[in-house]
Amino acid sequence: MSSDLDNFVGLSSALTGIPTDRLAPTIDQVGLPSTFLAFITPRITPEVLNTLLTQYATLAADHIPPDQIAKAVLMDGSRPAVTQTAQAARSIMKLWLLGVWYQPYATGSYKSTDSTVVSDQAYIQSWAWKIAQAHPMGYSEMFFGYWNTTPPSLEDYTGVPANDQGASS
Amino acid sequence: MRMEVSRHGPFGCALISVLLSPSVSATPSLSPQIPFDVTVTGQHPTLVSLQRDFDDLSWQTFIALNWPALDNGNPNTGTSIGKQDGATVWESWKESYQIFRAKGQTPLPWNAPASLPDACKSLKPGRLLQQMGKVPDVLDEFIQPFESGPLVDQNGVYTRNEIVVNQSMFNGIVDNGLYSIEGQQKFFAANPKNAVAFSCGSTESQQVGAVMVKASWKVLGPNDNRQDFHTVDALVYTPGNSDPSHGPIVEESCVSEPVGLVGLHMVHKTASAAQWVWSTFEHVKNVPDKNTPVAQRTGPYLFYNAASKSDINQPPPRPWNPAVKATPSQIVRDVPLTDATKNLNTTYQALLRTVNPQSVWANYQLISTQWPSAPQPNCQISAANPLGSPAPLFLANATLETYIQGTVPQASSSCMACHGNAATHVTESPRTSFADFTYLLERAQSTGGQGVNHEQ
Repeated sequence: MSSDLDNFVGLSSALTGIPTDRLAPTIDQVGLPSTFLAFITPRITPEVLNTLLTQYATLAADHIPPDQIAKAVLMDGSRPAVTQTAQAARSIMKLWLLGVWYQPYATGSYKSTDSTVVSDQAYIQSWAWKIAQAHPMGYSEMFFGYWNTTPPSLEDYTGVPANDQGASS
Repeated sequence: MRMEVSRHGPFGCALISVLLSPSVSATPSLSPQIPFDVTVTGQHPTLVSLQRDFDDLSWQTFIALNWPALDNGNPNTGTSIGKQDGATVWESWKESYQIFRAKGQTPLPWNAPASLPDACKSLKPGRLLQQMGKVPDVLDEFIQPFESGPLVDQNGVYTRNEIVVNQSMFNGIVDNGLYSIEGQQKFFAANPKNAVAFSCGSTESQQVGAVMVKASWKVLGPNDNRQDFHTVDALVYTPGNSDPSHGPIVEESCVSEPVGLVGLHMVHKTASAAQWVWSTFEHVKNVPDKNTPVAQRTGPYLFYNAASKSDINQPPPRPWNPAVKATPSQIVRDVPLTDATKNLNTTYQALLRTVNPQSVWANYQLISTQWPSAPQPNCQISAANPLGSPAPLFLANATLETYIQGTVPQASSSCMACHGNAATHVTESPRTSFADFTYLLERAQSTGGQGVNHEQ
């Protein structure tokens, strides 16, 4: 039986297309998955989170492919779903990609206009930079002169070959 | 000496092949053998278990490097560490000023004795501790990284630093001519694949890799108890400066004084750590933790005074002149030791006391070890993750990175993140600028230059 954290990582992988072992490495010195899960739980409410994770776990147990799981969570036929779970899922996608939490709807003291950079590491590790084969503004671990060379491939950064994503490396 | 940058992803199979090696047990022991690489002990390694393994590597390295040395620098296997205080293995290694000489001169052979400044020659022989000349582009040995400032002890005296390298690294520098600017240019021009890559320790080949040691020493005053420290008789040398544009006017001096070890970085490049393993130790009496209530900071400490009203973790005001007594630094540790590291320290300190209940080495503690948690196999570096995901994210020694402690990215001390920025003098491409995580190569001087004489 998977934990909430496992299901959160699995759901996040289905939503972003980034492998689970990249989102939550076996040896993880940063620990964003647990940070993110703890951060979003009160903001989307435990009830919505439970519904979302149960939906994911049920579909995953039926061996539904990740892209189909994402479609089931996010879409209502050919239109974006307007449920709280779908809204929460979109904010979770943006959280991984940008390190920013965009409050999807008002609940408790949280307003739908709220947005927060979750932490310095959430910003540094956000996936939009890697997908762009770049580094965050103001933070680089590349060696001197890297700007004068071809960046590593998209697969090196994300674990996903470029042709699987319709992009070029 | 070539480096290959792997184009494979950083987290996948590499992690399994590099870290998930067969499980073995590691029992703390006292050995003069420098570990070749980390020993992974867990059946299913975790961040916590691997940190423990690397911390154990740090202690084993600390013991081996501080083992009593014979006159030739080899460990004296006929005794054990700490029976009595004396010359250690690493103290026989080459100091940076002996490698990067004035006008890019060729270093003297490994076994040649260190040359002394004239001002020191008439004094009782001792270990030369000097600050470098106050010149641009050369790190001063009494000023810490990023010119963040010197550290002043309770006697108002500056601590002194030094950097030494083992023979493997010395040979890597000398054999490739990297000790001069022109030598570096020639090395990179000789072959389009040439890149700086010091040797990697390997359990498989039973080989110790390149090792660097950076030590901080305090001059022992009348209130300091020599029996608490590893001590050496030092020649504390201050080069003269008559150019006010290079700092305060200082008269050249050399004083024979006893000094005690207060901080020790040990950095080892290994097959599972192309970004090197960064181990750092301190004297247990250096500073209190930031989270220790003020009323409980009773000490006495070497770099903190409970009665002082000075600001915490602030460098002394400029100008920095080691010839003039300064207000003692008021330092606390920003990131406390973990409970696991404290427990390991207790284990090893107890082990050291089995040799000698008064062993000076039991007065030192591991602060932590920074290691790459996403390594590539065979000492390679991932182009997409060049630092290999350092764990922990930050690491500082209170005597060596005093004023850049903390957990702020790009501002606080991270060994790998900082040293990943090190460059050679040939910055025409990433291949030629890469210095393999050491700033030492920036100390190389031009053979045609005026010559900054570090040796005097």
